[in-house]
Amino acid sequence: MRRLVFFRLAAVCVAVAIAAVNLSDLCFRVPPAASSAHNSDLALAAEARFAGLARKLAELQLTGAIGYIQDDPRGNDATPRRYLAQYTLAPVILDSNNPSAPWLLLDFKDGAARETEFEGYSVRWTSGDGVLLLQRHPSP
Amino acid sequence: MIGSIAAVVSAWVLGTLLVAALWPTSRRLRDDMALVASLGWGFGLGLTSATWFFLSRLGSSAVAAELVLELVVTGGLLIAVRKRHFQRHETDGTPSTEGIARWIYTSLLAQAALVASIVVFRVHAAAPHGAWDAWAIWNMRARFIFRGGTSWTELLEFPQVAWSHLDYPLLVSASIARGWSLVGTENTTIPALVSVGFGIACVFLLVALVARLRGALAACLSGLMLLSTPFFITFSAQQHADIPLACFILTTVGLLTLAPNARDGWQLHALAGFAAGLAAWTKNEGLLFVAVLLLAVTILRRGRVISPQAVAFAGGLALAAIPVAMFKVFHAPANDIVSATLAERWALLLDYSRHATILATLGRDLLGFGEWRLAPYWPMAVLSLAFGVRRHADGGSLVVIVTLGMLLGYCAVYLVTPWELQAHLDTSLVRLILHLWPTALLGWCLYTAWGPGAIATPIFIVTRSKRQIGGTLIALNLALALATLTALGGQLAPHELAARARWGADVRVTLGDGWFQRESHGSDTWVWSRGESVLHVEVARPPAEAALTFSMRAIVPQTVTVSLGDEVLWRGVVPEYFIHVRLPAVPLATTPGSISFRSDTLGRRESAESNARELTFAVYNVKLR
Repeated sequence: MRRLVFFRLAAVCVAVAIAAVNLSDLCFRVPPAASSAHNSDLALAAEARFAGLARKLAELQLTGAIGYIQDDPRGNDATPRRYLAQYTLAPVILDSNNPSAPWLLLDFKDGAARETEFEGYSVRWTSGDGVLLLQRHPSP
Repeated sequence: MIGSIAAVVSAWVLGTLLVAALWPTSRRLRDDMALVASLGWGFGLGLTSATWFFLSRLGSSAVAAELVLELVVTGGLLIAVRKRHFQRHETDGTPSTEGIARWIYTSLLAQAALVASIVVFRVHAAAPHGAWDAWAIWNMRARFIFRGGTSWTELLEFPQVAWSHLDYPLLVSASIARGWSLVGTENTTIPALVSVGFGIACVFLLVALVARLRGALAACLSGLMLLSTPFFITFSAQQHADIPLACFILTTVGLLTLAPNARDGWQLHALAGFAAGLAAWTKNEGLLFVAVLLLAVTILRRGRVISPQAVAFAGGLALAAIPVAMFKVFHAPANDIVSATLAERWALLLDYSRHATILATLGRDLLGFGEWRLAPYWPMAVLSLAFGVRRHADGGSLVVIVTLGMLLGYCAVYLVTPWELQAHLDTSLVRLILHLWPTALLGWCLYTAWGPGAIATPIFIVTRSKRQIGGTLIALNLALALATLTALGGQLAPHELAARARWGADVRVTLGDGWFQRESHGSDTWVWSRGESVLHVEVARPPAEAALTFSMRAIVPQTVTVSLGDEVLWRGVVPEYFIHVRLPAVPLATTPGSISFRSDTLGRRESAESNARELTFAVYNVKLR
């Protein structure tokens, strides 16, 4: 009987020790977060990148869908960039299948002004680092 | 922050009162308060998310309507609770070895909870908006609900956002939107509170359930097993809907397990039905859970489905199913897995290569889904061996049927998935297993014969007074907590190379431009330079001066100059082997300084691969003296 009690005690201690090992390992695998200046979180970066545009869209009272164009729609990061742009700019809907929409959002990584490629549009707002809002000229 | 906490806590209070009002009067409510409070989180958020789903369409008067409704319901429930549970009972003030053992168990759980809390906080701080599914699905739809005004339902019908799985139910999203609406602004606090709150509720619920059913030792061990599951802890902070679903599955199964032991069984069945409905309101997998649960109950009751308890269960389920039905019928598009041409894919059920792939991945992920350093299955098996296994356990059969039924259901979905099978498995199976882990732990506790007095209390504890033991435990806990916080406080963030927080000073060396990502192995930490790089010395609370020491080595011998502004601190040839460098002490003020490293040699490719880095020299194990 005594042997059984000590076996049970040992089993409990081993279980507690393994739990402690797993928790310690977890702590070393999850370091403290980087400061805001060094944080590479995608969502934070997207919020900062599109913050000015979000204010402009609210000022223009734009609703519904606007066209959304990336410089590299087949790139590895194209999908998360599109999803994050939508997350940041909701409730405006981003339509990546309508390059001739009345309003276009250009999301370019290289920051170069690309509005000359879009004939019939004029720039209504730019962030200066690759985010541009274009409006189609009214038809004559 | 306070407003956000109040917005979420108010839902919790409402849920707790709801559970308390329906709690069986055969037991003293105070004895079950931990269980009732942990149940209250899910019920409260579930109920208020459903009311917000309906009331949010009222526009500017939605918040007022929601507040009035919640206040009225809360008041009514408070009166009901006082009426049902107003009893006086004698308390047992005699200290006992069982009571002392509970203190030890509580201490263990508290220490584990402290470490888990630190990890949760770090995960949230690194990604305040949550992980992929959080900003692609749950929080994004919360933004549509909050920002979209009265027409948010139309916004979610745009096909351009179909990639966001618009058919997914709205418990999490509506809870977040409700919180934002009550405080009047968006923030990252409320989604985090909702997510982490479900994780905490799950742990407390498991511990309280097992304590009620199998005693304190089993409760402590089940709580430790859950708290030491790394995937559960990190996922709690990532703002997905999987932990809430796991919580509702545990709630439903736990309540049905409690029901046979309570004289007033119909109330627990009603709550269980409501919880099952809330599972369906949380994720589509909740619909599978409801189907499996109904099948399980039918099997276990051997066809005797008409009874007061069954009617109560159906009533609770029907009530919670109202928002689910409204959403699915009027707003949600067809599910992408179900809506693809099923007729063509029925043949896949007989494709044995798909069966093999699923089973192989299931076997792999069952062993490793928790991301443990040491999987807990062996100690759990040894514990069952040591204490004995029950052949029959109230509620145990339900746990087994639900767990196996859900796994079978998931496998069936994978068999006919229109997506690439292995990719679908790799991106989702571990989360599906996580849904069932807390319930599986409950099942383990039910089938192990713990029994009272199963652990001999060491004689020296029995002969000490309650005050002495309590004082010793408190001191031990505080010492452990302090040691934990000190050890974890010394850890470096990913962008840091060294830190010194001592005697009121706080100095950190962080990476500036020109470095590759920091690397580490064992106790060594290093970073390679691109040729011209900068280390920032950030001073929060300045010491008088600080000296940097580190080791260096280069890919090819080169001269490196280390300077602070115009002052050259060190210049020398860095060979291919390690040399030790000690920079002279530099005075530090409150403005940060930048130490620049410059090599006279261009970078050399580290290997022949196309994505190889062009390296110059590396700095190892930076220390502040």
